[in-house]
Amino acid sequence: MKYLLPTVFILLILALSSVLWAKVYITIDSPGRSRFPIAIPDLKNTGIIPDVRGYSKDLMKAVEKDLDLCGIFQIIDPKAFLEKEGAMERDKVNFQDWSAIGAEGLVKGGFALKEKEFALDLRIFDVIQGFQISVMSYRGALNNLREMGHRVANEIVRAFTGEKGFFGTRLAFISSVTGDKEIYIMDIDGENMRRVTFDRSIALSPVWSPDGTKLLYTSYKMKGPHLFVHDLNTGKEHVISQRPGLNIGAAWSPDGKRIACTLSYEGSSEIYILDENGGNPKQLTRTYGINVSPSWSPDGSRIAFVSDRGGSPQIYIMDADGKGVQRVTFSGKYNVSPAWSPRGDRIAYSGMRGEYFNIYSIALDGSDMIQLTEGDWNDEYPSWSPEGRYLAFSSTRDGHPELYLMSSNGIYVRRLTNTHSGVLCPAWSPK
Amino acid sequence: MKIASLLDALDPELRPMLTLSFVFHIALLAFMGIYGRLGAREDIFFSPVYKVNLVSIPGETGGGGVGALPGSGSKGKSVGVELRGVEREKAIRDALKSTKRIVEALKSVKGGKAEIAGKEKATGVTKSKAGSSTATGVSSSSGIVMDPAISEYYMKVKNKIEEVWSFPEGLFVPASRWELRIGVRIDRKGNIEESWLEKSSGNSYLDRSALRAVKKASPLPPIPPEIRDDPLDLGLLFTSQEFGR
Repeated sequence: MKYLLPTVFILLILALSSVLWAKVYITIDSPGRSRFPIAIPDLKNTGIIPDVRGYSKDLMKAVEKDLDLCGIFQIIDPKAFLEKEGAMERDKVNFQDWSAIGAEGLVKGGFALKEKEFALDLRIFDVIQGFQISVMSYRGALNNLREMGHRVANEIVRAFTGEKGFFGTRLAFISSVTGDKEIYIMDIDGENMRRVTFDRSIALSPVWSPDGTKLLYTSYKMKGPHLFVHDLNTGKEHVISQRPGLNIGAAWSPDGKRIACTLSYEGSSEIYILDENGGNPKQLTRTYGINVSPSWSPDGSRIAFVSDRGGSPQIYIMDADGKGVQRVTFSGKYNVSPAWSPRGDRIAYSGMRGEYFNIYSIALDGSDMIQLTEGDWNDEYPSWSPEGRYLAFSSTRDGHPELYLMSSNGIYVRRLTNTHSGVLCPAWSPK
Repeated sequence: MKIASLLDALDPELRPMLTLSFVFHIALLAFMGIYGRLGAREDIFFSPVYKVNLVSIPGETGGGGVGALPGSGSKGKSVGVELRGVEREKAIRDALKSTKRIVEALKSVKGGKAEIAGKEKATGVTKSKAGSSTATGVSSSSGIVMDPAISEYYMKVKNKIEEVWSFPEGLFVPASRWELRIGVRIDRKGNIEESWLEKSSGNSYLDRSALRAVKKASPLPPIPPEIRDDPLDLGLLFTSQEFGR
C-alpha cells in the first residue's frame, strides 16, 4: 500500500505530459536559390595516350551547356575549386572541400583514348550527404562526343531530380528566313540547325513520327493545302492527303499507325483519322463548323482538338472514335493549338485575352487552369518535351517571333533561337 | 495517508477490487498519454504572417492591410510574428508576389467560373489537402502567444535554412502540392547534431534537397536562454505553398 501513492503520482504525470507536450514545426517555404550548385572538375586522363584534354573538354562543354539550358543547375566556376582533379573513389573524395565552395553536386570522372575510341567513367556525388548517387561508364567513337555529352547530362539531371533530361532531342519548326516558310530542324541546344524543305512555298505545322525519323506537315507547294511526309534519313517526300479543300494540321497517333487531321472534301472542315499512308478516312466530328488541330493523348485513346461549335474556338477532347466529346476550356473567347502532355494529365494551349495570345495549361476536366505566360506580345504553338517537364513555344516578346523554352509551370523561361526573321510552330522530337 | 485510511474504512471485501480498479484506470490513462505522444498530439506551426496591401507597398505606415495569407495549411495551431528589418524586406517581396496573385485572381473573376476554380487552387488560398486552420494575426487563432525571443529564434532558423535551400522552382509540374517534415536535434551552440526525415514528400529527390539544406544550414544560431531544452528538438515543415503556381 505504501507504493500506491507514488505510483499514482508518476502515472498521472505521464498522462498529463502528453497534453503539455507539442512539437513546434518551422515552416520553410521560400527557397533562397533556384538552382542546384554543381562542380564539374576536369576529367582525369586514365589512359596511356598523353594528350586527351581537347577531347574531354569538348565533351564536358556539351554537358555544361545542357545543364545550363535546363535551368536546374548552377555550374560552379572552376577557379573556386580547391582541388583540380583528384581521386574519384567515394572514400577518397574530400567532400568538405567541395561543400566549402558551395557545391551540392559533384561530377568526377576519368577519360581514356584508344585509337579512335574513348572510354569515359563518371561518378556523381551528393556532396552534402557525402554519398555516391550514380556511376556511369561509356565507350564510344570520337565523332560521337556531343551525343555522349547529352547522355551524361541526362544522367546528371536524373541523379538530382529522378527523371532524365531532354538533352539530345530536336526541334522542328517553320522559319521565314528565306522569305518563304520552310521547315528546319535543330538540336535542342541550338546546334546543328538545318533546312529540311526547299519548296519555296508555305509549310506549316510540322509534327514528328513517333520514331523520330519523319516529319508530317502541311504545305501549299501544290496549291493545296495538302499533307506531306518527309523522311529525314533519305530526304524523300510523299503525299498523305491531297483531297479537295483543306488537308491540314495532322498528328501521328502514338503508335504511328494512324494520322488525325482536318479535311473538308465532304463540306465543312472536320477531323478525320487516316491510316499511315493517308487512306481509309474515318470522320470523327460532324458539326458543320470548324474542327482543327488534333492532338493525341499519350495512350492513343483520345484526341484533343479545337472547335467553334460553341460559338468561339475552344479546346475539346473526344475518344479516338469520335464519341464522348467534352469541352475543356470555358474562359476566353479564343483558345487554340492544344498539345496533350506526355504525362497525359494536362493540355497546353494558346489563348487570346484582349489583343494577345498567351500560353495556358489546364487539367483534362477543365479544372486547374494556369496561365503560364503573360505579356503584351504573342506566345503561341506550345509543344511538350518528351518527358513532359518543359514546353517549347514561339513568342514575339523580343520583336520577331523566336523560339523559347519554359518549365511546365511557366516559372523558368529561356530563349532558344536568334534568327531575326520569324520562327513558328515548334515541334519537339519524341526522342 | 488519507486514501489509505479511506480504504480502511471500507468493507474489507470491496477493498482489493476498488484498488485494482483505481490502478487500472490510472494505468489506462498513462498508456493513452504515452501513445498520444507518438500519434495524436497537436503540433504547433510557426510561420510569419504577411499583410498584403493592394494599394501601396506595405511598410512604414503599417495600417490598411487587406487580408492575410494563410500561415500554414496544415493541421494544428499557427503562430505568427511581427517582422522587422531584413525580414520586413523579405515580407514586402513576398507580399508583392501575393498581391500579383490576388490581382490575377481578381482578373480571373471576370473570366468565368471555371477560371475562378483554377485560380483559387493556383494561389493556394483554398485549403491544402490536410488543411484546416489559418493564421490570422500576430497571435494564433487558438490563442497561443509566443515569447518574442523564442519566435525571433525560430525566425532566424527559418531564414538560415531558406538561405541555403536550393530548389529549382521550374522543376516540378504545375499544381503539384507537397510537404515534407524533417526533425532536427540542435545543441546549445546551434550545431545540428542529427537530422532525420519524419514525413516524405513522396519524391525522394525533393526530400534529399531539403535534407541537404538542413545540413548546409548547420550551425544554426545558438539557442537563446528563453528556450531551456538541451538539446532542442525542432520540426521543419518544407512546403510548396509559397511558390506553387
